[in-house]
Amino acid sequence: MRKTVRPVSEFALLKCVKTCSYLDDRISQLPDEILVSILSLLKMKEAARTSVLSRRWRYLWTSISGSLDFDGSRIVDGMRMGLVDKSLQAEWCRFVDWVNQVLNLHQAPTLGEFRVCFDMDDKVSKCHIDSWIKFAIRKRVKRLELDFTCSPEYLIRKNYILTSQLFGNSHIHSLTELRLTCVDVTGEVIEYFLLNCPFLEVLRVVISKSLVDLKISGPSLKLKNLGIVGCHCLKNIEISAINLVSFEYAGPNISMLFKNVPCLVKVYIGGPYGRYLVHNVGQISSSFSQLETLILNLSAVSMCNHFVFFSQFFISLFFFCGGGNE
Amino acid sequence: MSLSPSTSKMLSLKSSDGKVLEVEEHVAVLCETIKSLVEDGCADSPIPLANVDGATLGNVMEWCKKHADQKASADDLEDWDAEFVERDQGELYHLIMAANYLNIKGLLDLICQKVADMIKGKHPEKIREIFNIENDFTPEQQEQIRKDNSWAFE
Repeated sequence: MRKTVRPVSEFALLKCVKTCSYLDDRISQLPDEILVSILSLLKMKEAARTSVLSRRWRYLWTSISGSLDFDGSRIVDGMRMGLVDKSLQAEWCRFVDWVNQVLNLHQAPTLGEFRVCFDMDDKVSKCHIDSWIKFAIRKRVKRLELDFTCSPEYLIRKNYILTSQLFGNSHIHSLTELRLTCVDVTGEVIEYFLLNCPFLEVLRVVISKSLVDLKISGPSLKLKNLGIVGCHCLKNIEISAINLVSFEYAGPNISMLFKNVPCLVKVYIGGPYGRYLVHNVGQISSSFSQLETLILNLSAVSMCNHFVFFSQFFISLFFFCGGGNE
Repeated sequence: MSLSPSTSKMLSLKSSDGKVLEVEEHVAVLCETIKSLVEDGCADSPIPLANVDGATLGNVMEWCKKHADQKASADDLEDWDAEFVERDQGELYHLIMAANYLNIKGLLDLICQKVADMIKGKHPEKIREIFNIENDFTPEQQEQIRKDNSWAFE
């Protein structure tokens, strides 16, 4: 091209530059499965935005297998603080439509993560939530999080109730992490998960009103991290989990029994039970011989007041905290 | 890995443009495709790699050599990888295709992550510009897609 010097029209030049540069669109020449792997590394919204790039990209994002994260927490928080002037009902409809639309489009056979975060209750949302959970299980999801946090009215609102009947004969053994907030689960349902999810490593239950007795046990539990927070009807916890590394509990005074927790090195205790424990060290100290870190939150209102210390100082610091609390 | 560097023999790899590269076996077997050939006793000398050109094969083997080095620490590898992927799009394209063909998961993941990072946080117009993607939608079609997926563009 450089050899021949002759005048060319601006249009012809532009056309040439365009043709040449588009020849260099290497990324669109990659096979579908590689492009989908790349998109799976992006957040869902970012992956979906590539639909507008060109025809080649139109539906690629619907095959992502990374994470389907429906996070409506910003809009819920905004409405709660009066920053967003919208009705919850209208936003709820928009949110449900969004989830349903994406789930209808989704093509990949598997899914790394499925997360739903919005103010959802058991009345009008139940059939949608049921179908979303079934979808996630069908896609052999690894990390499942349902966060239906709502305003402090959660005490009177009816939480979504998760039952084991929902799973029928479907296999849920792909699950490695399960996080539930403002979802009512009983001890039996949690035992069902422990029994049927042999790879479950993380279990966190926050504000379940139907959790009364919780028994964490099983000969080959992989469970490493367990968190039980704000379950105000809870009476008993019994834990026998050979791989458990960390345990978090914040809630009412309960009977807590640790049977076989040889790997447990980190414990966080908060809420009324933390304050109770200060005066009743003997309750659990013998179970925690291998403990490296204990974080105690003794404050009644603040959740940030953490005390960190090591097992060799276990007893003495307990009394110290107790003294400071009186 | 079962083959230690000291006992490793040399393998000849022949690229699509006829270049022959001598590579230690314990390095070359990071490519699952080559590993299968070696294990099945089908590793003719030289092994023809019809889908990888000489320059790309050299780059791929450079990556394999670094990652076969058992003395390299995780931090060291991470820094080295970050530098390794600083290439133009043409080279990245050939590397990704080669990693896919030779079935080297670590290298494929690395370059996919690099490309994902190039897309991350950018508007569609900017992504088109970076990768020279031709917008073959009509304005109406484009508007419709944005409307259908409005949640993604908020």
